[in-house]
Amino acid sequence: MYMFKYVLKRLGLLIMTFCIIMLMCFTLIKLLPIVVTVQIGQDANIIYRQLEARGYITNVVYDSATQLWSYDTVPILKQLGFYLQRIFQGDFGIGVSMAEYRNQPVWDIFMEKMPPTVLINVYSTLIGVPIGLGLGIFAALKKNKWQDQVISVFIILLISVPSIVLGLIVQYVFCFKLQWFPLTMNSGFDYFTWPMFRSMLPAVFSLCLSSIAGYARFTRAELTEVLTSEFMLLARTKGLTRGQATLRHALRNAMVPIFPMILSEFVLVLSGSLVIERMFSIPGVGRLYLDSITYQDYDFFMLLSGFYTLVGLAAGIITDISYGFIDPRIRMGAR
Amino acid sequence: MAKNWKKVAALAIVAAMAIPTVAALAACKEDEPEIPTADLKQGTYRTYTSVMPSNWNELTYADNNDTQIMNYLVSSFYEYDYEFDEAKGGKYNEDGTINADAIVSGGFTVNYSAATKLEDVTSTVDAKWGYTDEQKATGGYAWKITLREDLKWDDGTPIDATDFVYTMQQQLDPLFQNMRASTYYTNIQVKNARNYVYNGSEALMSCMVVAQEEYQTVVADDEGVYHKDTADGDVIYAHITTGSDWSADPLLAYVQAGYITGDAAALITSLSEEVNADGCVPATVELVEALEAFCAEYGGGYENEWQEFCAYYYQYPEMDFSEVGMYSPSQYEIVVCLDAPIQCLKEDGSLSYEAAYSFASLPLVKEDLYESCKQEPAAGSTLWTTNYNTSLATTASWGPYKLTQFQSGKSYTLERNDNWYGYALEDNANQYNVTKIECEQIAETNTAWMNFLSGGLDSIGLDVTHKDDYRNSKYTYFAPGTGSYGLNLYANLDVLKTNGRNNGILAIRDFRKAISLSLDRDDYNATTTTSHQTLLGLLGPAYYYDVENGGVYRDTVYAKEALLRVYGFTENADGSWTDGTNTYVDYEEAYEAMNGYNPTLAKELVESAYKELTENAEYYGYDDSKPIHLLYGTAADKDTTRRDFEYIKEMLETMVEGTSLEGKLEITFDASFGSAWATDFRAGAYDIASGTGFGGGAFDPSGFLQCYVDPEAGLMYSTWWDTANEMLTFTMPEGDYAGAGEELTMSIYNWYCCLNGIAEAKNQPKTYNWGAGFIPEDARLELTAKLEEVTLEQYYTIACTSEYSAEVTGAKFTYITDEYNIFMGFGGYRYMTVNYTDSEWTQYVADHNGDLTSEYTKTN
Repeated sequence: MYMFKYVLKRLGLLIMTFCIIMLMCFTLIKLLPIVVTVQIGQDANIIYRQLEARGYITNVVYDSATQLWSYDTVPILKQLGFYLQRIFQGDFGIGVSMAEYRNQPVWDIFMEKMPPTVLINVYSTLIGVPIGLGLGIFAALKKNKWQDQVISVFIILLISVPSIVLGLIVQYVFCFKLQWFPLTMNSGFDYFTWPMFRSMLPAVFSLCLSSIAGYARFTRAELTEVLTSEFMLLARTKGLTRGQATLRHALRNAMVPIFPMILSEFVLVLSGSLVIERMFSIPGVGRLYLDSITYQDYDFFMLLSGFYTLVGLAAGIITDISYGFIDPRIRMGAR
Repeated sequence: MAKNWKKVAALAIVAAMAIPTVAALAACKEDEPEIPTADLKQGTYRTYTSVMPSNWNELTYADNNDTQIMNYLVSSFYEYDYEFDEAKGGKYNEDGTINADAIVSGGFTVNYSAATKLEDVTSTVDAKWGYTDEQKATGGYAWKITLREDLKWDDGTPIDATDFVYTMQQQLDPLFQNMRASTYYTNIQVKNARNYVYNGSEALMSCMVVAQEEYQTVVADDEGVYHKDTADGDVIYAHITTGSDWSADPLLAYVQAGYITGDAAALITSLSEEVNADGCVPATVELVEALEAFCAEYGGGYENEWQEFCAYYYQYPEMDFSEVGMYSPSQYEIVVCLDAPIQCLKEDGSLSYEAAYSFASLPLVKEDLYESCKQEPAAGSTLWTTNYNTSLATTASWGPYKLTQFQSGKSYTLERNDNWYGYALEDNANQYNVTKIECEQIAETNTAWMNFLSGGLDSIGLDVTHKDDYRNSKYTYFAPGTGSYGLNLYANLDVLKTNGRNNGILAIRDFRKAISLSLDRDDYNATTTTSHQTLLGLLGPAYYYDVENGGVYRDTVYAKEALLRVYGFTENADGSWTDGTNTYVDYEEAYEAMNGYNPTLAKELVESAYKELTENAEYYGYDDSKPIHLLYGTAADKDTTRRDFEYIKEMLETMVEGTSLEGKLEITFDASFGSAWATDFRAGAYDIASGTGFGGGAFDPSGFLQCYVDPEAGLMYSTWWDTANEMLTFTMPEGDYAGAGEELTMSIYNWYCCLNGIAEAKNQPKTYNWGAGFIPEDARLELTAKLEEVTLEQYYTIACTSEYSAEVTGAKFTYITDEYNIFMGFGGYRYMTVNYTDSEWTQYVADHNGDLTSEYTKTN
């Protein structure tokens, strides 16, 4: 019951926080001055009239004396009202200023580009988490022995080298020289076929290498600390084998900080890896959010802001709730 | 019986007549043998793009990136082809293959394609189009295009003239404000196209026709408010809180600064509370008296000078599409009526280059699909939009290829459109052997190169990183372009004085000229670009003034002499030229020797600029105790921009070494301007914009000057340069045309308008029509060179680089020729030879162990 109330309370807070963040996002992006670029053969009048007709600006006047265009910005609250009206009608708008998505429905593009990003990151997590945890556990159990030293050097190496270099090495060695994989991800939407999966693997490896290092280092540190705790000594004196004590007690305690880390990293990578997606031509959302700000593509920006905000807030709740499952001593919402 | 004999006799006569006729026809057929189908390989061309196209709709596309799909989905009424030398066997070999050896260097022909006939109907169109007798006599204003009757969409739906008229109506529909509507009132000036697009909207127009010379006729009404022309004409407004022709400073600023005092000041201050959204109030008799008093004290004493503070609102007329100059008199005929003439036919009635250059096609959309793609305005918007030609489902083609796959942000595929009329044309026999084009988005250059070297791509642009390895490869093709790039220097003193960077010195011409002379352009281009060439003028070597005969503007005596004068050469009485140190026999020799680099003179100019700066420190807002800060601005922090910045920085530091400015110059890099870099430069947010410039308009060098002197085009970087008021005196060359041999004085903008035949349309005080074809070409060239010279001598733009791109093409395909042709390029997909089919290519790559590096670095 405590938990139910706690979840309800958190959901209420989530909605409120979401609304505030979205309001801030809308206001901030609309406060940026509108960039008008006129290219050879284009008529500035048409560009301003388009902005006016879209409801961004009003009172557009060209002054032939000063050769300047003047306009008033439509009040942001008024624009927000229209935006909400559209959203509630299920209209998320169309791309306006990003060259790759002009006149294309924002929602369709988002739905089309999300699967590759999600899949690459799911695969990366599925590969990275067991290997990372395994290496961390092994290193902790072999603390200060040669195995631990080798793993530590490997981890330091992976952490120190930037992902762009790791990606380049993977691409050059495995794709170009050995030709085990294609250089870029295949086109198409048949995501669950072997050729498509194979074409995703170089990006998956490049992404998960640094994750493996992170998980391994963190797990080793946490487990090393737990293994030296007094309750572990008690467990062993009660007659548990080393393996039993490690698996049932040490690992479970060590997972309390590790599990939220996995969750938060997964949420983080949902936004896509700009570098890896660019390198392997993954048609994901990597650059979409950044570009939507750079080019002031309002509808894209708002949809993506809403999505990431929602995912981030939901992940916070899930992480908090997960503590209770991992460690029964933690009770959410209890006084 | 007799009847039967008659029948036999008749049959015998018919047979006797028919047999020779059939034999003659057969003989004729033998005289013109069909071109045999050659046994040629066909294959898939795989290419890449760094940015995927998204909107290949002819009516709305935003930039050239979208044309990478669009160009293959549309057709032309007339198109260019190589000129083949009949003496060398003509276009086709006996086996039907293309006779590449017969291609005439630099030659071209213009052939009918989607159209079968083009007629000048200026003298016969309806009187409602209002052509004068003179226009009817000269022709070129109204054209009738007869279409082929077998035009079809890729799904087999027939196309006729009404589809083109429907499309033009959609193109100009004011509800959509389509981006490409302006093509039909700026490039091809279709009658009333602008009025139809602007339908009923209004603009604030200046009262000043020409500074210190001509203003509007104004009349005060009973209430003392001034109107244009008559008492019920457009109301005249005065700028109170916004800038005007007089100055960028508002009138109110003159009150606050104490230039206007007493009752006039009180009046203007009170009116500042009543201004409209544009900072204006109606000009009353009382206000005009105040303005006149101010002008009398501080102005030049010209009649009606007060109007430089004033403007009026002009309302475009309401317009029905039936008044727009395009209609279809019959199912396969289109008539287009223009405001500005185009000479599409030569004297012998054949097609001129202009036909395929300016008037090659009209937009075309598939009506039923287009209608279904229309989207009503969303809440808060009044703009209709369309997603026509933005996805596979919304795309229709009437060109040689059709779209068969599209994934946003990833890839697209074009395949042969079997319903294209062009495949049946004799001119196209045994061509278009590229049956499929696959394009993938690859943003990372290294990825693209690995893909190319492993046989996954069939061509790649040569970049700075790879230029040393591949520039001499036998697979590399070089092509000149029209792009002209350089440095733009911000020089608006009003802004420089207040920008906090203490760099008013940029407003001194000598300083800007010193920068120009300090730039070793050959070294700069070799260091910072792949294969671009040095440029000293505003126009590069790819601009043709006489297309039919290959006349290049840059090679003319006028263009060369103009540059010589700009870079400090002078002509002696005997026709020799000198740069102060050396003397050259003639302009050709001097031009060959000129490189625009003179560091010694540059240092002298730095000294003189510094002297001017310190002696007039207050005027230039200069503080000698602070460094002079020059801000190099750019859109993004990339290797290329960093490399460019480092070069410019070092060049400027070297320039001031040993001068009074040594140690006082501070140059910094700012890459925060993003997509607003051009707007920000024009506003003075930074001082040096490098690698900026323009391209296009290869056959119109005079028109290209709009980028530098036409404020209305909205392209000028030096927006502070008031070309509409800066006067130029020039004597037009002798000849038989209006203005010939006369010494004329007019604004630079007016000169430009006359040169391009648009002075009347632009309401300029002098309305000479010196457009192409209306006066001798030499006279136009001399004036074009003069305007280029005047512009360069401002040193707002410092020309450095002329576009010259390089492409490495893989072994799978070969262009028909390695000689670049301005019309045909290297022949494109149309003439491309397929060396390996797709399966053969897979084997070829496997035979090379998946790495073609050694093959592609071969030099022969």
